[in-house]
Amino acid sequence: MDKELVLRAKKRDKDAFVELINQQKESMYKIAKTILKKEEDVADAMQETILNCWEKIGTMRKPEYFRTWMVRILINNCNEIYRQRSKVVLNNEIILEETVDADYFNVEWREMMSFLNEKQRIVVELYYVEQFKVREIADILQIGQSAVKGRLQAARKIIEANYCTDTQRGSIFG
Amino acid sequence: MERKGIIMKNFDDFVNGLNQDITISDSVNQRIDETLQGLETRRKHNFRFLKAATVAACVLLAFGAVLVSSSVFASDLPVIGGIFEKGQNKVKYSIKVEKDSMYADVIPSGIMKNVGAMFQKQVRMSMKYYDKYKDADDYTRISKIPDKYRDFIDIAKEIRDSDEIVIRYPFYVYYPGEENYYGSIYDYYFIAEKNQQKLCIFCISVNAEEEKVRTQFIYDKMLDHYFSLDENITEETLFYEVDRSIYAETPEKSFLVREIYSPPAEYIMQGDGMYDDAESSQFYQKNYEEKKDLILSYLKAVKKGKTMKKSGGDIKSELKKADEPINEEDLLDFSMGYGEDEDTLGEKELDDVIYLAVCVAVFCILVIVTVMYIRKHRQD
Repeated sequence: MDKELVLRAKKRDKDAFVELINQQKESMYKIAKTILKKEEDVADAMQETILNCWEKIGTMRKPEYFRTWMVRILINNCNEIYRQRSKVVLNNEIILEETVDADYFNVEWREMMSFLNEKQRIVVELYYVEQFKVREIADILQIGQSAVKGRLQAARKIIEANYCTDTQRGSIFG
Repeated sequence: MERKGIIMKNFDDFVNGLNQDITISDSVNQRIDETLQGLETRRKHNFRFLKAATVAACVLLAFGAVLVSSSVFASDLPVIGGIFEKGQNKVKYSIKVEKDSMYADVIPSGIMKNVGAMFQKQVRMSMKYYDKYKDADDYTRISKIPDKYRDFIDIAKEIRDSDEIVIRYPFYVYYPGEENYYGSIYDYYFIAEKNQQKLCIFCISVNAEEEKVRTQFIYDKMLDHYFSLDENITEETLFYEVDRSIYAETPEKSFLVREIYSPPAEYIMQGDGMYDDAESSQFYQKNYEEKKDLILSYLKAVKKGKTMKKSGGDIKSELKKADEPINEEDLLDFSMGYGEDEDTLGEKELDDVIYLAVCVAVFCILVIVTVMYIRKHRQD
């Protein structure tokens, strides 16, 4: 991530900010997808995050933490949308069939993520995909480092256990 | 070992798989592009909203300040007028006591010092009863509002924040021979003026008939209405009652200020001397200076007496106490408005608490609505 870009964005340089977002949007999409299933919800969360970042970027103290800061905002927005959707389902007593995006989850290695619960998924995504350190993940999720490690360990065990079964059957990863 | 190696290898494969590039769907991409293009508009929109909110808040604040400072105007407003109508009854008017009669020196200093505070308390309590029962029927008003406040409500209602109240011309209506027969109740009269116009006549009565000396504010509507003070009162005007009429007398002339109705039958029948025509006639024959000496000497003696010393302490303790709460009991059933408040003095004034609670509630609602509005706009 270009620190110079962040500094320019802090000074209300729109082009710099747009470039920053374009650099980060794939990461944002992946993270949002670990929490939200529907494309529309993912789009809402990303849009809200971009607007929040644009409005508040001036208040951010250290440019090197832009990514951590942005991911925290994104996860908060995703959680907020997730909670609202859950309420809607409960209030209307409608059991919505989970509309999983075919293009996304038909990729087998992503299917493995479905064995994990939401908390484990986000930790795996941040650690293995986004390459955040344990300390940074703890900071983003506002939990302890031991909790992050615990979730990673549990996730790894679940993946391995399920993967072993698949392997013995002639796994896709074989 | 072999199993572990396989697992580790495959988990790495899994991680590698997760790290493969993915294609963001068109719908999400489109939304991101739209958002990025509309950044400036959004920011301007927010600024515009903030500006509008700031201007609205300033206008609201200014409007509120005007209403608070001019509760008379505010009380006429629909819907919210009721809140300010209460507010306008708080003591904000100025009050001054003038010692502009020869009686001022012979009236107990405790009364002269505290008559202003007693007047304010009377206004305050009368308005509290008025606020509570203004929409009630006549029977309820008569049965619930003590006499001492009921009559005074008409006076208290006339007083506004901006008014200047001056209490002046203290005087005493002397009954010939009262030092011999009637020396336990002393009524000291005052004239209250509002903005240089006569507002009312009231008296501070000191009653030493019972063990405890009791000082109270008394307003007699009949006396006030029929007390003709068309003639100018001067510093030297004397007041006395002769032949069932009250007279005012200056060195130059004497004139009738109020014709009193017939004496109560029991006084005539018992012949207690109160309406001793011979004594009255004798007094009336005296010249101005003789009358003045007699009255002032008598009042000086009264002032120095134990009763008045006790009275000073009673006034102070009464004024230190908080206003008595509005009596909910039906006065007609028991006391006809007399002796209704002694036991309840000093309790917390409920009306003030309710008034404060209403103001706080209105303020909180405004804050909540504003916050919700801002949050909604930010989400939009």
